Amino acid sequence: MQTKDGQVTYLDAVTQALRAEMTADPDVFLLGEDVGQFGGAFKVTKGFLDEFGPMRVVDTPIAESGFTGLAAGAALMGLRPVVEFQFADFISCAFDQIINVVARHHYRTGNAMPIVFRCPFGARLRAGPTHSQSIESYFAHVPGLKLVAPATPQDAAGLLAGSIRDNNPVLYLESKYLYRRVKAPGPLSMDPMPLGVAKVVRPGTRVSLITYSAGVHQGLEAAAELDNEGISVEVVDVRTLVPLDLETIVSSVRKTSRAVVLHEDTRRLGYGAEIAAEIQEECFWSLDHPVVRVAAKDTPIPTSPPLEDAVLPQTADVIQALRKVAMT
Amino acid sequence: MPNQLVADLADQLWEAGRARAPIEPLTDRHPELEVDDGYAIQTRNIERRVAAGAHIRGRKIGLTSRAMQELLGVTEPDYGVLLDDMFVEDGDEIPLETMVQPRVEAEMAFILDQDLTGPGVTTANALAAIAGVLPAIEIVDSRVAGWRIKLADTVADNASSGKVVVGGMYRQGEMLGSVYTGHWHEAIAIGTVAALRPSDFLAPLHRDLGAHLWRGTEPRQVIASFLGKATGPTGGRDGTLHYGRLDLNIYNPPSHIPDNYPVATGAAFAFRYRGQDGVALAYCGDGSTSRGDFHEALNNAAVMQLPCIFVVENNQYSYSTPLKLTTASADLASKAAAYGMPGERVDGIDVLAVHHATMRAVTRARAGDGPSLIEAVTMRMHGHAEHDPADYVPRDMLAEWAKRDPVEKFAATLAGLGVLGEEGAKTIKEEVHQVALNAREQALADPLPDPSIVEEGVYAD
Repeated sequence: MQTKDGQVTYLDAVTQALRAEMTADPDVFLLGEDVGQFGGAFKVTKGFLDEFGPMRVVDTPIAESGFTGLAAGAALMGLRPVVEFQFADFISCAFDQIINVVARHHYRTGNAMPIVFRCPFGARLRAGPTHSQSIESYFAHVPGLKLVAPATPQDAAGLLAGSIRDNNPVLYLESKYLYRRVKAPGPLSMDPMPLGVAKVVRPGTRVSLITYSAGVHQGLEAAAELDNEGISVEVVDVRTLVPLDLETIVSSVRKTSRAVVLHEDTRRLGYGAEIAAEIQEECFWSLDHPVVRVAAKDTPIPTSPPLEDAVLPQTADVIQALRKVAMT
Repeated sequence: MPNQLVADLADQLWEAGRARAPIEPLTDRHPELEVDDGYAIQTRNIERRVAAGAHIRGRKIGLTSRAMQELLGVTEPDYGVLLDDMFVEDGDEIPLETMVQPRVEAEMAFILDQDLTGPGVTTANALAAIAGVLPAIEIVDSRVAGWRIKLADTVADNASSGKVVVGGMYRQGEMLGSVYTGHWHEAIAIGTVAALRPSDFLAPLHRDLGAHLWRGTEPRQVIASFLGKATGPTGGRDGTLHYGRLDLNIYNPPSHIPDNYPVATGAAFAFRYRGQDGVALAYCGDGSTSRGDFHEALNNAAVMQLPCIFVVENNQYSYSTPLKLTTASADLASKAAAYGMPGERVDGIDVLAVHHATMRAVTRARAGDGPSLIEAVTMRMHGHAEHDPADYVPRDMLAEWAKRDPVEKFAATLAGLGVLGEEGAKTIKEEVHQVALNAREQALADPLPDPSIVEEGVYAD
């Protein structure tokens, strides 16, 4: 599954980790719309039906709430379902089952409910208001759920394996913008990575940029640009939103004394608000500047390119925010 | 009055109550008896009962109205003590031989959520302590012959107290949240669960107490759940009938019925995944059939041919909404046709009819012939929960259904077969009542959960 130059895409990484986990554990199975005979809307599960058979690669009717509940029942019986929402936007149809059946079951009963919900999410594909949403804030608020949002092929593979082996419900947010745009030299390790460990992906000294998923690549681009101006940016990829590795974030900000938080979700009560609040509580006496958020405008995601670009944070916006925080 | 005389008169009243042999009025023999002497005698006998294990649960105040005071020629109320052994559950029988010369009086009961300790209790203090007011029935009794009492007599006789009914644990504010009963659902819960193996998956709703008990949930745990005790199946994290025990293959459903329907499809899926012939049975009500999860679960189960039995307990009302505002379908069982599965409508009062229909569905499911829908028709005989007087239900409708008690019907069937006589049925009823009383006693004594671990268990290890 590597390209001619030996590179593995983000999408291939998801496919490879799924295959590895299904091969390793017969209790792991997939279900969702068009995942079987069609191989999934993004072809993540292409060939899986032939390889694993219809019992483990289950095409469902269009019934997000129904198949989420099905996954919950199967998980209670000891299976480890991996549910694909064709687009993360459609997870709203399963909101009740996730909140009331899945998320709080362990707290109410002590019974584990290990389910991975694969959620292709995010914008920049001109897909419009109901195919471009970031959904993390709805769910990060709910006790009992974990949220993972990898930015690189290696993290996509390792964190998917880690999520499947976790005994809790995990929303695995895969960036459909990064699917074919980000590559890494193969072969990738298929070892599961622990959830809740952030990573400093670019060390720096003047200002910390805290971000995740597609924001990591935008942040690295901005950091490279600012390096030419002599501004050293440390980029922290949080990788897991819940549980959040606050220690890595705090130690970065204590070092640089300045922080910018970046994400593609809307600004108001976006996950950046939580990160900024934590930084304020933990690092107040180290800060030389208020924490600044760079996020989407508080509108739905429009379709037409000039409109979508105007709503979403652009690399120039990130550079500007970092420069201001670094130099003030 | 000398202490010795107080003691003697207290003994006489005590003995009169024990022997059910009323005595002449104390004031006939001791005209000098004052009201204060009466309270001294009352206190002596109350202390005796407390020493023997009774607990003080409240106080009673009598003669509060001008008319009653004038009738007895007094200018003050009289006070007595309510002990826990005087409280009778709503619906309980009181054997006549435990009383001396009982009379019934209508009373008002003020439920206090904090103690009022004098001196210096103001009206404002009292108002602040009142959590609620309930209609109550007092069964007064007198150890004085012919009720020929003067004020000092009745005071000495604990204000002529006997028994009191304040409407059960829920009415007395001991239960958390609401109380949902399953009257006229008994045959559905038992008729269905008895058709399953213990290893089959059960996804109940809040009318299915019988199914829980059949599977082995302890009555004490049921009461403990309502009381928020640590010994409840969820340790106080969930309450009322929101419990389940996976070790008994019972799912703990959320309030959002029929969320348990899709969950049951998942359990059925897991049985087939593992090559086992287990089945999953889920219940919902007539109201739930309007929700998307009902449709999605039935459709998914039918498309995947999952071993599921979907039971709709049609009790005519979803909270206050009558069936005709829930569906335009002639019945609910016919909805099965839209999904391509068999649907059957049965008399939910008839435990054998329910059982046979469930057996047919279970047989199909085990054989790999897919899911079934069963509509069991009954009536919700109480409010949606006990806070709801259900005055929207036509009284004649309730009266008609009241003639069809599922438990009595089954007892009559067994009597007709010569399996169980009237005596036997009565014995079972008494045993069950005792089980419930014991469960209540245990659960009341059980500890509350430890708040220091409230943040634990949000996530599994």
